Amino acid sequence: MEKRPIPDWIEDYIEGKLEGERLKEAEEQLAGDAELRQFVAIGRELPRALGSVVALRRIAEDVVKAGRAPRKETWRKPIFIAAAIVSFVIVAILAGQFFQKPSSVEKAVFARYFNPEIAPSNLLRAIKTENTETDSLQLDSLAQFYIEKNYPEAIRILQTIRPKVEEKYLSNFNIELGKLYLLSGKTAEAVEALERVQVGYVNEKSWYLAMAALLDGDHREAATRLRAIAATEGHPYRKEAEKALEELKEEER
Amino acid sequence: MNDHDLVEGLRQCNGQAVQAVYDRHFSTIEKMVSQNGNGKREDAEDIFAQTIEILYLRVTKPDFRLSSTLSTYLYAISRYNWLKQLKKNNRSESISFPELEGLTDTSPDIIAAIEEEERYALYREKFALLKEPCRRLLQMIVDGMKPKDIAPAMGYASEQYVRQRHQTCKEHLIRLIQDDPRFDELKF
Repeated sequence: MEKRPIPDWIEDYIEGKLEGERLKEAEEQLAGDAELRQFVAIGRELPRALGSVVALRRIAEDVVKAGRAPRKETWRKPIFIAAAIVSFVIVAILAGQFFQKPSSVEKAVFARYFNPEIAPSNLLRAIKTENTETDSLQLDSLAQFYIEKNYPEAIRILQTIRPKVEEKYLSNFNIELGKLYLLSGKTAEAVEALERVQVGYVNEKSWYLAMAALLDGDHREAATRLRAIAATEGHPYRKEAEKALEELKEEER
Repeated sequence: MNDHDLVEGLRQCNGQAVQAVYDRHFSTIEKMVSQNGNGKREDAEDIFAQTIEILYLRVTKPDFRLSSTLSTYLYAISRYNWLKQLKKNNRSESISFPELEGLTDTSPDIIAAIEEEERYALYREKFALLKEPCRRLLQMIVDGMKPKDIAPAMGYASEQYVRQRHQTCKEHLIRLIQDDPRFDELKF
């Protein structure tokens, strides 16, 4: 059966953008058209229903996992907690004796200057995979995790996508991966990803490696990298590097 | 974790919160399913999974307030859902009369939550039937991406074309939903 065309004002009505005479006309038409009212009702619910797809998939997986997990034996819990506390105290005492307290100066500078743009569109541009069903689902999940700032999950998906990324996009891919590792506080992995950037992105690579050194509390490495950036004419992070160096010196005093 | 922590954990899709809810409440639901209509463990697992989904959709609403204990809330959702399924599957003859009354004495909020999840489940099912570019486009819009970012990601020439495609895909999805025979049974 031929479907009636949907009026072109419907989207604006659903989004609450109609006003005055146009709104009045729309409401009159809706009052006498049950099918159109249904259309509006569904249209209003769709964003929430579709916005929950990824979350509900994860919850469903968690429920299955929860069902498989061995049931907790409550009598063991107090003993386990006591043992954990004792172990923690011993480790803390030993660590205090043998290691220097890590410097927070570099981390404070890192926190002020590490502010990367994280947008799904950046990565979607970087990932050109075969257009398969699985890829599509993975990319949807990836975009969702970016928006939710769930970086560990985003990294997990990126790792599975990596073998399919075309050679020419690998540098961009590794820059994005490095940023995600830094956001997750994993400096060694971030450095490893950033070091894999071989073509282009020289400036981004140098800046994020400097950030990794700051996050790691490696003052000398961070200062060396920041000085190199500050000395590079036209480097997009030159001013930030100069300021960060100043602040490192300031905080030392 | 108290009820508030569990609700917050669920809102964040935290696997530990799901595990904690399962550890504390699954056995009660399993017992209820078994005592009413002689349901099996697998039935209880299905009901529990649906209950958690309904709870997630509720707790992510900005105006959500837990008006009872989490235990009571979960039990009420599970019971209503289970009794409804039994009635639908004609297995209700084994349930005592007062239990079937549970279908009418459940709070309107719980019933609304279950009906909402039924609608959403149909929407998601139809969404999965769309062609891949339509799904990706709709998902990007729902995720809050702007047409100017979507156009290059999808290989579209302009923002205007993104809007046109969005309109077409959304209309197609709504038509699929309306054409499903189950749609007439859904309540808004």
